[in-house]
Amino acid sequence: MKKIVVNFIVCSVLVLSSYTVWGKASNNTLQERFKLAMQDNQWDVANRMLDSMLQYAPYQDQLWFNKGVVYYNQHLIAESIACFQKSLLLHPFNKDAEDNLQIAQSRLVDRLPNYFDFILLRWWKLLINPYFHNYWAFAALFILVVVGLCMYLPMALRTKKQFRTIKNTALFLSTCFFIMAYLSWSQLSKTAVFVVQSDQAMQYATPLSKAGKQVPYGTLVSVLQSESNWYKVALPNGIETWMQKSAIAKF
Amino acid sequence: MLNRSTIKFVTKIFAMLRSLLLWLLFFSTTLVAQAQQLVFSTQVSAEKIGIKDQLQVDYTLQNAQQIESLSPPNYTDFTIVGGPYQSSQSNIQMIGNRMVESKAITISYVLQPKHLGVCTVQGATAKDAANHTYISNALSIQVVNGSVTQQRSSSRDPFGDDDQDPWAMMRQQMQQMQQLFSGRGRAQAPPANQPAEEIKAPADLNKNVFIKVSVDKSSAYVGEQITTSYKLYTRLPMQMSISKLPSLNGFWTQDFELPKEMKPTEEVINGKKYQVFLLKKSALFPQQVGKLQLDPAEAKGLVRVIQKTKRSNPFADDPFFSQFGSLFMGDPFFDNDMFSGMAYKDIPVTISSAPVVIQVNDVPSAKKPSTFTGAVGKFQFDVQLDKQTCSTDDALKLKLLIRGSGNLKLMEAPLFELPKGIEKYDPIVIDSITGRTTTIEGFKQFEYALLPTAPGDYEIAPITFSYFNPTTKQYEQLVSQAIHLHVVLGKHLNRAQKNTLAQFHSPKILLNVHQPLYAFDHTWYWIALFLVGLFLIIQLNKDKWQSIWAAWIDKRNSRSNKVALKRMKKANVFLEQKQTTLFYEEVSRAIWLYLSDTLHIDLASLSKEAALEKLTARSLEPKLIESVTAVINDCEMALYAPSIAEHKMQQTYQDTIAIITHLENSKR
Repeated sequence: MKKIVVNFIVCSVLVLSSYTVWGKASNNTLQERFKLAMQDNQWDVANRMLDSMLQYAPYQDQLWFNKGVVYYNQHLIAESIACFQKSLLLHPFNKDAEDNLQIAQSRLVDRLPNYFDFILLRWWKLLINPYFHNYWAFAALFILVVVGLCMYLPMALRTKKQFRTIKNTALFLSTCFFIMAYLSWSQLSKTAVFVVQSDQAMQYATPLSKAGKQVPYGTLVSVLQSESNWYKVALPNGIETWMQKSAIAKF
Repeated sequence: MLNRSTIKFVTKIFAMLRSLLLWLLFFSTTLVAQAQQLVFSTQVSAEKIGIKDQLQVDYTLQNAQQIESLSPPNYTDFTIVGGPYQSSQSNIQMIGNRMVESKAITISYVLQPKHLGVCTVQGATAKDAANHTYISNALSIQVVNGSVTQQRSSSRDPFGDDDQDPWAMMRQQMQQMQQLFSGRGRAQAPPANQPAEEIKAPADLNKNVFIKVSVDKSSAYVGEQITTSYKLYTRLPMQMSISKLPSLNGFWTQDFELPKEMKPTEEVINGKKYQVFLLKKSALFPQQVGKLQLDPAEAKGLVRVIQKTKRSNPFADDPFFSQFGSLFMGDPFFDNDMFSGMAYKDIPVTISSAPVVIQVNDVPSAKKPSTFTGAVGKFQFDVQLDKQTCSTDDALKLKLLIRGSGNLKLMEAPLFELPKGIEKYDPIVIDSITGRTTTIEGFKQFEYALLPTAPGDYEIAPITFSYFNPTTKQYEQLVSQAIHLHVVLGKHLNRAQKNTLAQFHSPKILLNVHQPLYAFDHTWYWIALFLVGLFLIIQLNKDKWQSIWAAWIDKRNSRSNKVALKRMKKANVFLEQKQTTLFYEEVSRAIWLYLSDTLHIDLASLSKEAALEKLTARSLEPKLIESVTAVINDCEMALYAPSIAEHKMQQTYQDTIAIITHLENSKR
């Protein structure tokens, strides 16, 4: 029995280490090829390398940033905007992505005005950004550990009313942080970016807008509902409408 | 009485005069030959004036071309009291089979003499574009006291009167002839021997000299070219100039080029041969719908007709010449036309053409394309953009070039839309007529300045130019190619952009690509959380957990007691039946299981020593421990020697009950 356990442990270690070494080597090769492709302006090759790396690390904001740069060089502005936006969703403080997004959007011929967002709503969206997930998660765990350690304080101290108040507050905070961690983690599944990639994308009739109004190329939209060949999307100007799926690219 | 030598002398003088006339005629034809050469001359109204009189000086430039300046001299003997007055005239003159057009510019001054005696009128100076300087001739004027005009009107000397002086008459006639042939005479001025008022051409004259306006079509569409020709038909020698061109209201006109040296053609009309001079050929492009009338063209001039009129011999009435009698008149010189009357008579006439009416129809409205902007004719269309790639700092030029024949001047720019992000300014329109020989051909260019305001990839959609082809009576469309334009971000952005946009960042090569760490995705986080949480749950509810434990223990104890009593009940049955082995087996199970549950000793490690140790640890009475030891020993002994233990069955039963009861009581 003991021998089996030892063999299992050894095999596991070997498999894991070989996977780690192979994975790193593979990614490093892709990085090198991506670097060479960028130097030679082989945008298609660079894009393929990035796609391969994104399969391994789909939430790596820097890869999306690089992909946006590649698309920009390919003059695919809508796709470029979507990638920069995705990079910013994964890392809201990526200044480079923010700058490039602005530049890419400045190349758009027409843009819809952004719907007014309350500052509190913006803050809330920032707080539940996946970027902060680890902060929330480890804060919750840390508070629990501290409270657990406090159980070893002298009984005289533990029986005081203040201790119990602090303890209960800490437990409440930890629970809140845990919920925030969950919310931010759940946002990962909502980081899909939808962008209008067709010049011919037409807006469906809505009470707020006349039928047939054109949605500009490169407009970032939020998909609210999907039905057969149509998406129900929210436009940056706050209007909700239906658009054909073929007019929208998902990243 | 005159002697023979005197007669010879007079005859010689007349022979000299005749030869002089011939020379003058020859000289005048030479002038005609040199008609196209520039002539700059000074003419005065009189050679002798009074100090109170005014003198008109005319500086005439004939066949002047590209004269840039004409400056008068500094008059030292005169004061300028009037002028300069400028006039110009154009004459068409028929010389043999050729029609020569000459133009003259005259600058006139009115001068007042400053002093008596001989005063000089200096020549004026003219300069042409090639910087050639021309100076007209100077003239000397005799200035006398008083006024010559008054003297002339008050006292008329029969010999001093120019009108009556045969030499003066001859000179005047020669001047008229010279003017007639050289074209220097003014067309409107009638000869001195004719009445001053204009003479309407008689009906038979109109048949011989007339103007005809011919058009190639009497019905046309708006904008369609109509070719008109103004032709002068004549069977007589004449000197004509167009005095009034038809007002072509409702038309845009473009003249055709005519050969510099026009040769008349011959046409036979009603059996009569006419020399035809093409005066003007124009292309007319009607601009409005309806019946448009070409007003008559009008020409004025002199027509020379043969007229056998006998003129009176001025010498015959002169008392001086009457002395010569028939001898004098017998000279053949005096029998020529000069003295017998002019063989030709110049009649000033005004002729005009008949008005022409043209029916102008609108272009068909059926199938009229929306891009039609009024072009009628036959055209080619080309669109050019000077750059395919530029930045937002650059301006672009979009040229729409339309070539062909038609109403180039009237057509408007083709309609087209530019994609958003490109601003368009008003076009610079350049049109030029390049061909005027058979049809009016040329081009019209609309040059738009485009300013891209935002970088991006644009596509200028194909531009459609539509025109109506009157030949096929159909609309035709010319479509240009779509133009792709790539606009990059310029350095000189507008302020708003400059403040907001940063430099574009290049991609960053990651040293190690890894999926970002998200705690919820890792098992160790959940394990740690579970452990910590469990610890806290336990710690925070310690008392509660203890009470729960105690309750569980009680429950377990009560269960073991019940089980033990149940077994003891069964042992009592065996006791009554005297089945020793079965009795002790049942008692043994009851005591051991009870001790195992009560003392929390698992069955694997349950032994007499362990049980006694636990009992001792509970500080129970030694008698009870001894009783437990005795019961266990009896049970073991009965398993091996049932006959010996048979009599102890009742005692063992009671002791066991007592032990269980005692231990149960000790729990409470």
